[in-house]
Amino acid sequence: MTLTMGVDLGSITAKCVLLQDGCRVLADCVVKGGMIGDGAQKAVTEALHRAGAALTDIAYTVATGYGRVIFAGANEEMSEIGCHGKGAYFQEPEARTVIDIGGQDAKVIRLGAGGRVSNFAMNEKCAAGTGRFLEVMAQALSHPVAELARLGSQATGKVSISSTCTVFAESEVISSLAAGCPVADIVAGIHESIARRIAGLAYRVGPEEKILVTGGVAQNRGVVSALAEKLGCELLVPQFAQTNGALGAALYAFEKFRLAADHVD
Amino acid sequence: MESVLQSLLEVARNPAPAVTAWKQGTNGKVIGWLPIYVPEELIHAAGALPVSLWGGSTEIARADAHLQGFACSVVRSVLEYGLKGTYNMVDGFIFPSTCDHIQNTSDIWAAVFPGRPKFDLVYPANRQSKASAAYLERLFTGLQEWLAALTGSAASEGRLRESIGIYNHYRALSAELAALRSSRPECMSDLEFSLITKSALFLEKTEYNRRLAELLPWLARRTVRPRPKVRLVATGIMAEPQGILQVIDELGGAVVADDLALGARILRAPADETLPPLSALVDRHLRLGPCSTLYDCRKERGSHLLGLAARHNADGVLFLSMKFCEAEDFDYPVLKAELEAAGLPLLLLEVEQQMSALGQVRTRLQAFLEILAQGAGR
Repeated sequence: MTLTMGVDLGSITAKCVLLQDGCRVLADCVVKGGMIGDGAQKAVTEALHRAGAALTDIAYTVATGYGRVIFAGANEEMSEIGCHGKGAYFQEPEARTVIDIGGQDAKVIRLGAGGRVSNFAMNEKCAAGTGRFLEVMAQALSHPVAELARLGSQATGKVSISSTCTVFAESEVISSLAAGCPVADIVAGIHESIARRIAGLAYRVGPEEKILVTGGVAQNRGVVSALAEKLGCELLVPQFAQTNGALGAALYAFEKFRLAADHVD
Repeated sequence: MESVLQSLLEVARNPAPAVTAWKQGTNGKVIGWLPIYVPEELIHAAGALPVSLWGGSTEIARADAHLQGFACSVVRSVLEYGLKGTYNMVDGFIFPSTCDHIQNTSDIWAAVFPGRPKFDLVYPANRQSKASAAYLERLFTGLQEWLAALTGSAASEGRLRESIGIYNHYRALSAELAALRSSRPECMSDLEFSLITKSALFLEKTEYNRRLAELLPWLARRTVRPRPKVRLVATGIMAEPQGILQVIDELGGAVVADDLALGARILRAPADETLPPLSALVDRHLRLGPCSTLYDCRKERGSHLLGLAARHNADGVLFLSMKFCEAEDFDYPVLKAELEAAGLPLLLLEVEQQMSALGQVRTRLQAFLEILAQGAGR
């Protein structure tokens, strides 16, 4: 039995996946606190605990995400774009496009034969259309970010949020609140705003079905359905949506380990 | 020989001491010119030192009082350096009509620095008509007169012929350096190549030629890095901030050829030494390109890049898009379509000279190199 580990150090959360023989997920976990603090260590400890394994059982570890360069416990680092492609193909072999909406960036990845990344687009330097955008808006509305999807589903209309800039958009949200707009309608407008931004990104690479949505924001049904409407097609949220990058890293780790073992043989 | 290399790298990193030393040693005039195309030979023949002003990584504070934030970082930092006094040793400035940003900076410059000598090199947009050659000849004569008034001596035809020879030699040596990074990318880092190329912009060219000619045989035998896993062609205005080149290096890639303005574009088209000297410079200007800032009815940049990639066995193209450079931005969609149709992978990276955080750039580059490495099989 070969155990490999994938660690995805994002800007807001740290994710860890333990994989058995490159085909079975033994544990996956998400811990608050990404690059800053001990998020990575906590995620690794938690995943090992859930799988009932020790660090010494791990044959190979691949790190990905923004903190991949500073994470000391990895044998290798890979870009999160490659890892998200890998994870998505494992979860859904018919996937041709992955839309990953993370804490501080959003990526649209096109997959070619064998799940290989053939093209990708990333958001520009600002956090518009990302998890951080949602967090800031949730704060402005005084609601936990996890409740936004539920709130948005109660909307009877949509308040238009036209600013791309997170700071300007926050002012728009506050102005809408001051004007007495229903919170649910504002939330629907926020979801719509993210969807518009991501759809623009998707058109840059030409989305092709099946399309998987991954990353923390995939948990928000409101954003996913607004995006599906914009793109005019069905979107799949896989079982390991938020840990998809870490899963891809663990899959790479298994490949790398086998390759290294072959060389030794 | 290491010390010759280090001296060039130092000039590129901090040009002021070299320029000041030249001025003190010769008592000559220093002429600063803005991107992209200026017939440096005319300045050289007038006995002055041409130095090119392509901005830098300085923090922008004073310039924001005069230029909008959505002007490119080249003009913003040139103005900043001017206001900070970095160019105090520069006696005259040449502003070519490269783009709206440079043309308008020229007007702002006149208002901010009244009385400092300045020449506007207004190029003809159309380089196909017969009138363009006549117009350019008049334009260059005007520049010669301006230089003569500034330096106090008019350049003879013989002196200009000599300068043209020196500049052709500079271009030939630069082509050798460029050939070397393609045939043996192990011999220097991308950053070293870029800095050597940049150092030429601040040194008198006989001196630069001497140092580079000395350096080339030594570089050819040197090894500083492993054979690259991925070979790239870079296009755009410039490969700055230089951290980008270091990231490519760290990821096991190498730029083996370029179509950068601060690079191959200004080094193209040797002047025809059989022509009368002024006509040779006119003729050279008419043959420059392809370039986003020069009108090109044949739209040859795409095929040029495809040719470069084929000749240098490159796996992909890196489009370093200078933020707010409209000329380059308008070229991008056309290039993207052409390169995609030819199956040559292309990565767009938006850059600014003042960029300090390269985390996102690293992610994009790493993903791009991972894709290319799958196909390269090196």
